[in-house]
Amino acid sequence: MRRVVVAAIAMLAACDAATTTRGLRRDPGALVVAKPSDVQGLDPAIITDAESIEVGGLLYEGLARWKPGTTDVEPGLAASWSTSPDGKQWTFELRPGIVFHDGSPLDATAVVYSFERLLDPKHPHYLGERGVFWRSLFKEITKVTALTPLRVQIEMGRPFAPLLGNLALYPIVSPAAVETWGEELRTHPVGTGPYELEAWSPGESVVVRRFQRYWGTPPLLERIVFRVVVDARQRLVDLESGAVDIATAILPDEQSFVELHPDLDLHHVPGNDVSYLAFNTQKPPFDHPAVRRAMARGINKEPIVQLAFQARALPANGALPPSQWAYHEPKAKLGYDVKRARDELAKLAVAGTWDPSVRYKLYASSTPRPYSPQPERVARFLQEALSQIGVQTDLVLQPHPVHRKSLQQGEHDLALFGWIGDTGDPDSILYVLLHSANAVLGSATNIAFYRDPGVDKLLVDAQQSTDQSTRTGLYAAVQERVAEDMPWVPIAHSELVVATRHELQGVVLSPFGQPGYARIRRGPAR
Amino acid sequence: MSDRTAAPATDSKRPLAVDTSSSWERTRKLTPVPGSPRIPRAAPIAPALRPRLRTRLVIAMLFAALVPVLIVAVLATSVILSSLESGLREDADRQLTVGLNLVLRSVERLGDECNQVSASAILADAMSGGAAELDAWLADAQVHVPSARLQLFDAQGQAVYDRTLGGATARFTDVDVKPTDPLVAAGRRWARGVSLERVGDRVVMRAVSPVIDSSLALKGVIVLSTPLDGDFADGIKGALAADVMIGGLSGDMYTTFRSSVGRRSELMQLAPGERDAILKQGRRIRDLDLPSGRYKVAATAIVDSTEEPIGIIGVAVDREPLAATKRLALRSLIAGGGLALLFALVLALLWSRRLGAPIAELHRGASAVSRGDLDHRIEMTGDDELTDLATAFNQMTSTLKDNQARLAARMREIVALHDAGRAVSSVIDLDSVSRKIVDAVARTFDVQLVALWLVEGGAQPGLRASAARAKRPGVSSALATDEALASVSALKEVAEKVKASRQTIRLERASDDPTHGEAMRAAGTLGPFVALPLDRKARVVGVLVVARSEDAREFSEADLNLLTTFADQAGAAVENAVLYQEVRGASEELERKVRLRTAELTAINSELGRAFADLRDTQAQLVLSERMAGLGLLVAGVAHEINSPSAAIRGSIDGLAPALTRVTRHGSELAERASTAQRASITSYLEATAPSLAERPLATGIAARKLAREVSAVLEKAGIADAQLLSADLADLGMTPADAGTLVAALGTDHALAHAVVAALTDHVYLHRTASTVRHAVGQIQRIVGALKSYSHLDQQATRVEADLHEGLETTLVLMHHALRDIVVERHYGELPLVPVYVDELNQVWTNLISNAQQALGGKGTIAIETGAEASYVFVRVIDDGPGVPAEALSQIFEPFFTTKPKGEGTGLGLGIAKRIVDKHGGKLRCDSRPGRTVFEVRLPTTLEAAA
Repeated sequence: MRRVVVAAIAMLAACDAATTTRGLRRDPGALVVAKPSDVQGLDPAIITDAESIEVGGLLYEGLARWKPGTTDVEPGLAASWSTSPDGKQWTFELRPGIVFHDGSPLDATAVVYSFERLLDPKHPHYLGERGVFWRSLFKEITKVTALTPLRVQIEMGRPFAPLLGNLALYPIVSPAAVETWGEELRTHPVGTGPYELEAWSPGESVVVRRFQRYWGTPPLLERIVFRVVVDARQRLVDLESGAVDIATAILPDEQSFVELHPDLDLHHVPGNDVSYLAFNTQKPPFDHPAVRRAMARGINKEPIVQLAFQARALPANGALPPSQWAYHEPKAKLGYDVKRARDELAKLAVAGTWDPSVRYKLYASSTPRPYSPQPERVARFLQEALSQIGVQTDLVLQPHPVHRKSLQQGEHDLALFGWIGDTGDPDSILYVLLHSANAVLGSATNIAFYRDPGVDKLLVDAQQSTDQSTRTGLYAAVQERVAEDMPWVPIAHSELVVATRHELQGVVLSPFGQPGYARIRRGPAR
Repeated sequence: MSDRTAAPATDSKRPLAVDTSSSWERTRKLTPVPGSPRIPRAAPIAPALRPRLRTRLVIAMLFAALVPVLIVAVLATSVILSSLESGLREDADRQLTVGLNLVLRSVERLGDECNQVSASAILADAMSGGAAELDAWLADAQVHVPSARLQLFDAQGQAVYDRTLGGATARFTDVDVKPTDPLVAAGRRWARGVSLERVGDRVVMRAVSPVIDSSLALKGVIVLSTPLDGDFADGIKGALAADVMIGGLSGDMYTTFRSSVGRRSELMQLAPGERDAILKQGRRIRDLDLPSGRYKVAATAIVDSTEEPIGIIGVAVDREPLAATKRLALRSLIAGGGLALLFALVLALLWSRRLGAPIAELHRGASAVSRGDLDHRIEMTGDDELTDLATAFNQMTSTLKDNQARLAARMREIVALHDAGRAVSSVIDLDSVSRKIVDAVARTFDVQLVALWLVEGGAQPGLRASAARAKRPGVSSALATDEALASVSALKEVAEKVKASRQTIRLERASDDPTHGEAMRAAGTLGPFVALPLDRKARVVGVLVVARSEDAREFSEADLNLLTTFADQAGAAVENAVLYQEVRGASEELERKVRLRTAELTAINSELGRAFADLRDTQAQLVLSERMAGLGLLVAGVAHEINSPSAAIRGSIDGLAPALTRVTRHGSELAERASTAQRASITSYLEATAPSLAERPLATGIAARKLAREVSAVLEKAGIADAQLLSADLADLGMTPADAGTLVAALGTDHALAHAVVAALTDHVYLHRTASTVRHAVGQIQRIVGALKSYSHLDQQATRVEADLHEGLETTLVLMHHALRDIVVERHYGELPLVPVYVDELNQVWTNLISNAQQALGGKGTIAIETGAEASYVFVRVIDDGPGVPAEALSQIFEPFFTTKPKGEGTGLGLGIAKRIVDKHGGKLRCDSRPGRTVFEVRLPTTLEAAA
């Protein structure tokens, strides 16, 4: 009897001890992430929203992948690869012994299946319209063949180096799962990633758990919970109280709060994007590089970055952010010099190339974009700055889709615009924004309508070379040339911000702002 | 049932044991304490028992009442207290989180205010205007500006303005920012921001904003600074409802604690260890006792934007409610416990008295019983189990008393009967037994009459009144037996009935019984009556009748049991006596018969002796005659053997005379015809050729004719006339063509001599042959004679001689040659040592075995003789391939006079004699027979020791 009483008291004491530990009775093996919105679906071939991509990145893998925190490509599901001398045939050697979450093996057939689903209209599970984004990345591919169970050959219409970066993004899915679930793969994702889906309560949370048969280094945390917390303020409150470990999309005004909070850390990384002021080089006087250069001198990026981007951005030197492997700081760097800008413009006016009396249309989006949280404010800054050097502009503010349409039609003289690289490859920024092939009215992405055969050649050469250093050189030449030609004034590369609890260790953000979840672990609380 | 469990069962029965099957021994042990109950003799009851039992009851009840109450109370209190404690901890923790949040929100707000102030276009204008204009701007804008130190720097970073807003200048004396501060530099790069910095030992929050005009041109930088001091802490406390401590790295804390008169406490010093722990490990929660109160304090570090600790913030939650709750709980616990104890004590005392009194009464009763006082009665009123117990106890006591009395009486009877039983068993004379039985029953039971009938007679057993004892009314001692016997004759009928039915008859009043009433009245037994059979296994050996006088009490079950037991014993005694009588009679009869038979046997024995002598004589004669018969057989054979060579000799001798005549004539004829040289040549030819031809077998039939033709060819070639005629003669002599060549050579050229030479040669050859025949016949006769001599061994008859068995066998074979003439005799002789034997007797063995084989073969077949030696014996096997000895006869063949031959042909002694002789040698003769192979094996020991 006495012993039972003692045991009962001991049990009560134990309960007591448990309740006093900071009140957070959560599974310490689970990482809770507060996100502003739910995932839209987890069929990797059709997802486009950031949340789905982030969760999908844990569930799926491509043939290649990025080194943590960079856009440098390293082997993924394929242990190695080689190209034919003409650069049109790529052969990938798959790692043996990899299995999907459903236990089916990853082999060449599965890889081929994933591509045929995207590219072959005769495939029973052809993605059709839903695969348009991926097809744009892989439009050079003519054929994907399984040579042996562990060897895949991709044949291209022409040499195309960015393929690797694209492959790093493109997830390989389990054919068995596609056959089983079809359309419903979006709720039953089956990949080879370090985590597998455990539960998805739409509108509330997505839970992934460690995949026990993962081929690579096992992730450190057993479980990750992506919780939907729509209100930004609430995300911060949850983070402060310890209810969540990671909160994304922190309001800029509150970032100093996080920074100064002893229990919280703020992580930031330069984004793979660029905001810029584009000249319509097809319209005078902006067809004249001297005009463009003079104007560029009159724009001070520092206050824009500090005041319009709330310091969460880097002043841009060129199209590529400094974190990009192909980043090159141009020698012909145009500094901020109002006086010189005015002088040059005055000279140009005398020469007749420039008419100060003309008012130009400056187009800007009224909708915040990830690369530009306050586009209107930036536009007004620019308007003011230009007026300081005698360039009068009228601001045309439009919602983003309209804005974009207008720019593609070439309606603008000047336009505030931005771009996020689809893949880690510099090609996804430089080629898209500067090649004349993309300067087609109506569907242009090169909304400066910049056409330079030299740059065109350099860009295509860089696409076709598979040698990294060659490509780096070619892209450096492009950046040098563009800095000189100044078809647009690069303004800023945004910074991506994630707030975490201080006890989390090993948080490294990718250039897309996603923490490398697999390497995160929980240290002692502060 | 095992002994272990059986023993207590028997024990429990022991005081009341009337069980007739229980041993006398055990019953007797009980006799010294008749009527003693099995209650141990307890020590005198201590007067202390009553209070002791009550004390225990009180204690038990106290425990039963208090322990659960106490446990529940303590558990509940500890649960409540610990949850309060943890609630307090959590509260402190939460308050700290909120406090920290408030601090940081203050910083954020300062930043907001700074931004708002900086965004004022008036400020931008005033910046270029100088201090006066700024003062004017400030006066205008002050409503929006918090209590802080405001500093303005121009675009070049020069301090242009410095004011303290909101009074209380002393707070802000040292918080100003230097123009060289990185914060100012950042502001000059349009940066907006807030920071927490360490200034001296204080934490200062600052906000910076660039001052810009509408063209984005930088006009200057504005910096707001506020220290995190006691006033700041007061502000937080207002929002927090808890005391706040805030301070720098040194551990000197501004607090919001108030003294009793409402004055703020002085700076509080944090212990260095505590301070370091907070700075290093982060959040800590601990108790803090101060004069102003008792607190639960949670504290953590304040960090700057590089995560470097620059100060400490803590919140103190009042612990007083918890302490008060604890005190209250303890007081309630003690008060409740005391009340419960009191209540339980009273209740326990009452109940222990209520329960203790009847128990003590019961105890007194039990003590009385244990002392032997069975008259004790327990008087108890009430209607509970204890009253029932008292009633049961009283009943038990009275029952015990009755039983005790009955037991004593029964015990006496048992003892008496036991003695009687022993007395009865001690005699074996039937009449004495009867009397003893009757006496014992009469003595033990209070009876009017006892009588015993015994079953007697062989085929038609009847009852005989054997003994009786009766009592007449008014006479104290039993009547003489004879008189009693006379009086019980009327009861014989009843006894017969009992004997026939083997059932006890028991009458409560004999005179009233419808069946036996008359007989009873005749016998004068009118009271209780019992007649029981003396039953022994299969039969009734007697009937015992017991009757009590009319007014006596009837026989109880116990009486009957006792009588039955006694009847068993009596029956055994009677049977023993009867058996004793029978055995004695039988033994006398046996003695008589043995004497008679002994005489008969003696007579027969002497007759047998005579017959045996006759038999021995006959046997000797038989053996002799057998020997003679064997000898006769031998002699017949020997006679024949000798007869044949004799006839041959006679035949040869008959032809000698004419042959000699012819030889003489041939000699002269040759002498006439041949020259001297020729004569010499022919003579030497004849001398050389005749003996060799005589040795040759004579050619006959086809072979002779073939030889003749070949010889004739040789002769013709040599030109001898009548070659054909000559050659027939020559061939008859066994001459070959080569011999003919020699002859031709010997003749030389004169062939006319040929006939004469051949004739001479023929006669020469004949003479040689005749001589050889005679020599042979004589040798044969000599051999037979020698064998006979050796067979009989007349000179060595009585002693053992080392002999070669092969010799004896050969001798026997020689002597039996005639009988074995159509039989193939195979000899498979091994190496035999010399064996010590009686040679002539052994020869008879061989003779008998071989002759037996010969007879079994019917004269035709094979006899094999094998010999050999083993380690200690030699063997001789005589094997024939005759039909064999029938299996059923095999065991008899060595018996004398056994024969399978028709009557008169054999004596049947041969093999018997052979066996006897072999036995005499210490050897063995065995026979193994099957059709086609019958083996007689003789084994003889090789040494005399082995033979013995």
